[in-house]
Amino acid sequence: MEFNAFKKALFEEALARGCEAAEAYYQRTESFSVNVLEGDIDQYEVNAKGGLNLRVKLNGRNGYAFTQKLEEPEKLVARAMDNARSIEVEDDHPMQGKCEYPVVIEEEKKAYALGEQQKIDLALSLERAAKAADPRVLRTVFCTVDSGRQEARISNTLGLDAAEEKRIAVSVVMPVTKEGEDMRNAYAFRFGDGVFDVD
Amino acid sequence: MIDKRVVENVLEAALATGGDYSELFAEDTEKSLISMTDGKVEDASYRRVNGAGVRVLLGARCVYAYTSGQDEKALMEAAQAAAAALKGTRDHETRAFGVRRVGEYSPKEPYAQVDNAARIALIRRASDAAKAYSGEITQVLARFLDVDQRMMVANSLGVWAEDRRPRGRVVVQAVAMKDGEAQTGYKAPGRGEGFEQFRNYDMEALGTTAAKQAVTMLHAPQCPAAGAVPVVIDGGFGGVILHEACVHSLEATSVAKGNSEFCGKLGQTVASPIVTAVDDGTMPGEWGSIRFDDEGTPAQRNVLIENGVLKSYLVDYRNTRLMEHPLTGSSRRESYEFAPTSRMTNTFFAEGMDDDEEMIRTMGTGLYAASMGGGSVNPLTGEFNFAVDEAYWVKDGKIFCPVRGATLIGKGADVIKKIDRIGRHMWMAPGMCGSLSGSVPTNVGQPRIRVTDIVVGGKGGAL
Repeated sequence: MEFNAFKKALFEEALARGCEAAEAYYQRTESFSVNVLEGDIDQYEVNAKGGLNLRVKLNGRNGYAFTQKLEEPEKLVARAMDNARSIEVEDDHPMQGKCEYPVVIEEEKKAYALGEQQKIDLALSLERAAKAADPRVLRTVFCTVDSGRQEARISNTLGLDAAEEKRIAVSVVMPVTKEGEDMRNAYAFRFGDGVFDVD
Repeated sequence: MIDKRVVENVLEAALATGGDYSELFAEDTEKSLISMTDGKVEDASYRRVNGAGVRVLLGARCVYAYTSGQDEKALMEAAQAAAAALKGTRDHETRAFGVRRVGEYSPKEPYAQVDNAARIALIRRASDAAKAYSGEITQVLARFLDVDQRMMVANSLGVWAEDRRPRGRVVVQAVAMKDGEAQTGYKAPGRGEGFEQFRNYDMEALGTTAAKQAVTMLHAPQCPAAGAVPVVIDGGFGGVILHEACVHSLEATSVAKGNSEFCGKLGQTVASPIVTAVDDGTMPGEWGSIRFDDEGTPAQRNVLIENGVLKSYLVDYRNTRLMEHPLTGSSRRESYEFAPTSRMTNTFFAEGMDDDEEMIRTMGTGLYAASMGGGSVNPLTGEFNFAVDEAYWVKDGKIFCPVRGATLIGKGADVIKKIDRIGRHMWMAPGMCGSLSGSVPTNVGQPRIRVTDIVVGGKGGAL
């Protein structure tokens, strides 16, 4: 099912089975990762995943259940309700109703606009810089540039309906050094536009 | 799980741009966790993981794309995204599925048919027993975890494998406190079976044992900073040193790229002549066991070190392209979100010939590590540092007193050369192992062993 249809089915099932309220938190992530080795691509990943966390309120207690398969709403509701019956402590995070939020404009980072080939080139330049830093640098164990976009949506039967989006870029390098028979490694990472700080 | 026609189309699409191997891995996994603190259930959660990953190889270069859900559109998009990275033209074709492997294990009591009340009743028995052991027990944490993974993997070489992998585990941690000092005791057994395994567990004994460990250590003096002394390490979780400080360095993940101290040493003596180390994924019902690995290769018993000589690495399909070494059925991944790589299953020192009591009687002065804790290791060098959760100082071959805060510090390749006793009874303990392809369930194990010397760290003075 698509998200809105699944959410509707969940809420109807939960209320019909006696829950006082229900809430769906859905998160979807798209990501890219490239690892280079000796001047070539070693591993390249491009991914998308999403999942929905259902929260039900039953007899004053909250129960949770998560799924990446947006099917079988009755099964997810049953598990969330069993969890609500099992929990014996108060949950001091009450469900919110409709809320107003201030607008936050996130600073646009150049790193988020990089294309795939540019990220590959950045990883290759990072590896070259690591190897050039010292003659004792043998190679890198890993040298990666990762980027991602995350979208989150939350809505419930009390009127809450909100969404947000986040973006990320990160580079990580772990060189291996050797002097005689002694080998050592260490790592460094940068976030956001820090990924351009190759040296 | 996924229609054969869809699988064929996905594998075909993935090879469109020059890849020489394509693979589809899919899973539908249910997990649940119950957490109890001092007899009250604080958390009860359920997760259903459902998705698929498409891997394409060109030589040793790997491209991986995954997606949650398993509808045809999402799978084809993943295949096309993976293929798009190679930018070549089709050079290989898929083969018909000539090898079909289906795991025949089915749990007697699947976790999906067990309600939370049964899980809670089980861990409450351990929690109550731990709390009742002593007035010095101030907190008891108890958990029940279960996973039921249904997986399938198919590749362009014509292999199709599918299996079901249920696992369950209970955890008891007791905290003892006095005068502002705290010590913990921990027990966490589990097996690769359904809920039926827990019908045989003595939950009260589990709780009591964890509590006893905490109270014993609470009253123990600090372990001396003893330097290099003889150390006897008890069986079961004592095998964590072999796992962390040695066998991670035998995984192709490290060896294939030259990032291991054991590179190029097949056929050479790397350990004491009484040492045989094994990784065996075929042991029925064990926590780390698998029927097929996550590339569809049947699990097997791998003798890694035999009578001190290095005989084998652990190698997955991709890394056979970098190493001249047969497949070992060791390719594993945490979930569809990871490309697989070589990992351990059930890893242990094989049984020896020596007497457990004689090891201590003839060791002189040193440390008896009854229960190992966590630690850290640098897989590049094998240097490690491990906490000992329950330890005893030995003087002139007799256990003198319990000691707390002991650590073992050393290098894995050195330790296995200095083993001079291996006991006759091997047992294993479960854990979770983290590496490039995520966190996977593994057993560590050994009989009681003795090492002629390991550096023992501690904060105390002479005893």
